[in-house]
Amino acid sequence: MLFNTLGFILFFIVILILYYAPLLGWKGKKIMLLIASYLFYGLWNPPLILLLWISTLVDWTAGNKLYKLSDKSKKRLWLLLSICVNLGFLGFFKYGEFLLNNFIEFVNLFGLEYVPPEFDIILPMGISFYTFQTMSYTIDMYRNRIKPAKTFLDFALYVTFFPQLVAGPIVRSDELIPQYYEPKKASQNQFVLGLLLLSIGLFEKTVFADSLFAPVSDRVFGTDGNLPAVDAWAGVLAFSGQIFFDFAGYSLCAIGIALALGFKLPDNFRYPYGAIGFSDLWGRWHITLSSWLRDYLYIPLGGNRGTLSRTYVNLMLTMLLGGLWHGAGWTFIFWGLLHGLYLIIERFLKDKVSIKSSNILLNIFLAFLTFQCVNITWVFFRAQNFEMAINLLGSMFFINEGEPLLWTSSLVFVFGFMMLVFAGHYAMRNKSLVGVIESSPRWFVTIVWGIMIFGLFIVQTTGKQFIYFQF
Amino acid sequence: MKYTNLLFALLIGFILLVGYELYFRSIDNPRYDDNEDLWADQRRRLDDLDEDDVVVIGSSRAHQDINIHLWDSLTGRRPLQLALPGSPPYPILEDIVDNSQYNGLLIIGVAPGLFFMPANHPQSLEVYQKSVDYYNKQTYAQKLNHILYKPFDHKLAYVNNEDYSLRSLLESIQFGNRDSVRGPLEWPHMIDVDEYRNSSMTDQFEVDTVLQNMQKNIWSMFANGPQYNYDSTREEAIDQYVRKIKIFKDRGGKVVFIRPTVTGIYYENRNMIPREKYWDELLKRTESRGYHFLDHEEIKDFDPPEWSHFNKKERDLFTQFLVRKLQEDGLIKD
Repeated sequence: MLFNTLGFILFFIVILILYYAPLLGWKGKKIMLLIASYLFYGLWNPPLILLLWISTLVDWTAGNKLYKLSDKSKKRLWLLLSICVNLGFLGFFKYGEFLLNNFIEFVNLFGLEYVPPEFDIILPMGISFYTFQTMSYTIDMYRNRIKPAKTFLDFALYVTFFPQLVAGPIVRSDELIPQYYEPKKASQNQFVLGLLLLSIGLFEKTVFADSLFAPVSDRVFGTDGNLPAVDAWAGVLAFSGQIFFDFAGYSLCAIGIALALGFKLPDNFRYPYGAIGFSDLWGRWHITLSSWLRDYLYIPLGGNRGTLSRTYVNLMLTMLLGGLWHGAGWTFIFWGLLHGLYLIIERFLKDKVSIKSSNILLNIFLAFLTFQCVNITWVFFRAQNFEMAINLLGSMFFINEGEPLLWTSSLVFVFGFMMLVFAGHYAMRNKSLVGVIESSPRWFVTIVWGIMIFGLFIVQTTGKQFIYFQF
Repeated sequence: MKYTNLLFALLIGFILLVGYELYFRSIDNPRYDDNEDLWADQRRRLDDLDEDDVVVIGSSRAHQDINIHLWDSLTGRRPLQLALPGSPPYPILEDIVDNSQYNGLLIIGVAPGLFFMPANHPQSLEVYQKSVDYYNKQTYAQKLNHILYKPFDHKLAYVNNEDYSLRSLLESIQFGNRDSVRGPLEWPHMIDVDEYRNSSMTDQFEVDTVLQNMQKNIWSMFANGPQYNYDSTREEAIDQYVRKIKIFKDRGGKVVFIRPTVTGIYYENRNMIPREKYWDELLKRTESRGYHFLDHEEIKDFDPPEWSHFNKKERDLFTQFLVRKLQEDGLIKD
């Protein structure tokens, strides 16, 4: 089920009624939320709920064993089982075809004509998100960092909680499970703020991402030929805006829905296009994934505790895996590689050059430079293949010339709007959306909210999928 | 934040929406979106049909030139309308033959420029995605959304994804395009569809020559644009129909092709895909009957307002003609 549909609005209203009506006790409410979460997922493809159940059962059992056992080798085996099941599903459903295609190309190098059986497997929605979430539970249990969930119901609801099930934020167990222990009821402020955040998130997704940016980026990335630089840049900037508003919009919806039920989910975006440098960027873009990769990959690899060259290797490995997490394709891996290179160069320069951070103009310049470097990486993220990506980069940097493609109005919309996005993100670097809402006059917030609700009614992009569902 | 903020925001949104709806009501009527879900609704009915039923596939002419409700009143059976405007019918024929047990009468509209495209042509693949593939992959969530969306769709004028979605409205804002960049096509509002996908030319379009000329300009632009080399895939295109129709007939199905009347640029360009090499060959190799407008005095001189699709009167006459011919030829019961 998608947040940006009438079906979800009806679903959520029913949930709110059942949740706040004095019909169920706290346990009953949690059971209702769990059933609703399975329904939310199952309305897309019912059989794939089985994967969720298996993942839940395996990690619940492994978690309890890891907590009780003291024998290190046995603990390691249980951890291995949990990781194998989770990564096994992920590997099979998400990377199976990619691995098979690469295997075919590899054996073809030796002149072997291998023709595999047809491989047509559905990618379970949000599998990368819930897999990482459940893995963090067992890994933390192995490290004795957390205690197991008190009941199976609490754990199952942690794995399946519908607001963040299919596209995050990736929540750690110690952030969410303890919230299930006591009855939760949103205060008036939380409830209304939650619905406001939901409206903003939906507005970002349907108005900005789907209506304003997607048509332009789809046209540019759907073109085989070369383009003039202005069209190529507009297409890339449009995708930059589309993916931000799509994903940040989803995260805001998730946070808002949870808040309206009285639960707090972590922030996932903090104005990333205002970042100065790449470590700053990864503290602002998909924060829950970055921190997952930091805690469960980068630090275990050694982090920055070893030599400088070892740190560089760790950074690169982490970002390559980050790229692969996003998609089963070499272009995604290359996207990760570029970000790895950026982080390495930044770290190298930080050790050599001192940049004063109090100089506003310099900061704006560095933020703009960071933003443009990020835009270059989006080319590989969005392009179907390397040839298309290289062609587009050639067009962006005046190496290729081609026929104009975009309408003048599209160019004006995209360049104008993305300038505002950059300026807005830079201005909001040290602020939060909730902080700005709470410090603004109520009448002003209410009017803007009313206009947004109107926008949501008229947009008519019924049921366009969120980009990150495929990851 | 207080509940009053929420209530006032909803009120503001609602008031703006009422104004918006009133504006669109002043310029247009509420109507159904002929979208993937509506097509899927009809496709779902296919499995309930029997050998006395009729299914229509093809392009916009098969969609717009037959009145399925009139047909119902004449024969007691309402045809299932699965034709898709702007689309080659092969992907839908393939779906009916391979994925259903239907063995009634299949009426296949032939708009040569679309009909004779091979299955791997991008336009065929696009049809497949927005019809058959969507139907096969339609989730319960999408079905639920469609059920909820449908009452608003035909009761509110502004609910019209194709013409009045924010995206379409933004696209309509145009200024000073570069020389080689063509602006978006301005399709006039030509037809209304109902929940059975029965279509009717609007009263306004039937009399408004400005709208008709807008449509003619679009057809002329298509005709003057780059043309597909049909001869390069003629055998392949005909073969694909021959194969599927043989399977369909082997299980008791009947097939008839129709080529409704065209005028203007479509009539002048009819020899770009010569009848002898394509239409006649198709009938011969599929061993099927066909009704070509040039062969029948009753419909030969019809005059579609924009060269390509009938007004309501001619649509009904064509429907009556078709029913009569099919009854005479024993393809449907009297």
